[in-house]
Amino acid sequence: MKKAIHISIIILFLIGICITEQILYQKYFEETTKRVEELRLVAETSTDINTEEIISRTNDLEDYWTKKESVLCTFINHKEIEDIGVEISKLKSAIKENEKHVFVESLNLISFYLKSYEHMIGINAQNIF
Amino acid sequence: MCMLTLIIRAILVYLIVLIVFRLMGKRQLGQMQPFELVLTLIIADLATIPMAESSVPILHGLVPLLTLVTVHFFLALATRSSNFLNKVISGKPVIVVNPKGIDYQAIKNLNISVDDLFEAIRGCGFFSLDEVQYAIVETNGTVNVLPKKDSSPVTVGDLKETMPQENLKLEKLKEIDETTIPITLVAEGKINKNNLKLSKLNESKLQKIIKNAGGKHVKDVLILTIDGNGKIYYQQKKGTFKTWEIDYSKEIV
Repeated sequence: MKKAIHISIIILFLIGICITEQILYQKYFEETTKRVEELRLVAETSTDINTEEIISRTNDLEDYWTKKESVLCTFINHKEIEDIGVEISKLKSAIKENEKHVFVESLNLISFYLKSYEHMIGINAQNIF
Repeated sequence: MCMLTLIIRAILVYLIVLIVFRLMGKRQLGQMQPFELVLTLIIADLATIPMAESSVPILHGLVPLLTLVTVHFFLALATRSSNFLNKVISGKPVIVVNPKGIDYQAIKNLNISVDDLFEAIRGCGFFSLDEVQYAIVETNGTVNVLPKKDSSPVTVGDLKETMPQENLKLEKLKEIDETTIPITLVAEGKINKNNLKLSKLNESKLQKIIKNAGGKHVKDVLILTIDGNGKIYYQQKKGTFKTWEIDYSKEIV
């Protein structure tokens, strides 16, 4: 009986972990993707990327990602998501140099990484086997 | 990552593994069933991943560990509640030495050599096969030996029979029945039908034996064994054991 209670607690814990993980991934990745897409739209429509709006949006993206990355690191291998942080840093240096193609390329890479992590996290036969 | 983090992670993983092993029970390595041994090996491997690799979250080690503990719990539950599953997962004890000698086919099936068998029998304190009535390889791999009556140590029960008051009547030792292996007819409320067939009893006779012992239903019986001389060992789930003898020749079908 005692053991059954322990096992029930473990099962609840495992279910809780799975649900929390899925909710957090979905929430954070969706929000990051949304911010990246908005930034891309703004960057693509303007000729100069060293503008107030782009700088402030990039800083927001960086702040948001830095905060959420530490939470995600509880669930994901740190190495697997560090690339996104690296690309966000590249955005800032691209703004300083006013290199639009580098900026857009980094945004593309961030979108790509987010999509591939989403695929990795999902429950499918490919991930299981 | 600093060394202090590694130290804390190592302590955490150690504590988790400790809890996991406590949840698994108190069996030692030699007493493990095959699936428990597999589980132990996997746990050892899983625990090292978050301990050695600092970029891997502890949850990556914890979640599979706890999943395995849960699976182990249900597997153990299944093997306890079904004789068939128990046989499939843990196997069954195999008699490797019987009164006719070594059962070569049995040791071949178990993939053990005669030397291994001798080693195990010597480990039980018997240095000659002459002394062995039966040797059984248990499901956890240990070998247990039932010695022939000449090689059995004298018990208080034997002395009571042979030493009424003043004289030790050695002749009476010869009258002690040949030792036979008790077979389990009921374990944890479940009838072992193969053993029941082997004992040449049937379910109604078994029910009669249980009633004679003061029991009502088979499901209340913790253990009921019978040996070739009709000696019964009986214990209910909530109660103390009883032993008595039945006239086996009359009882068998």
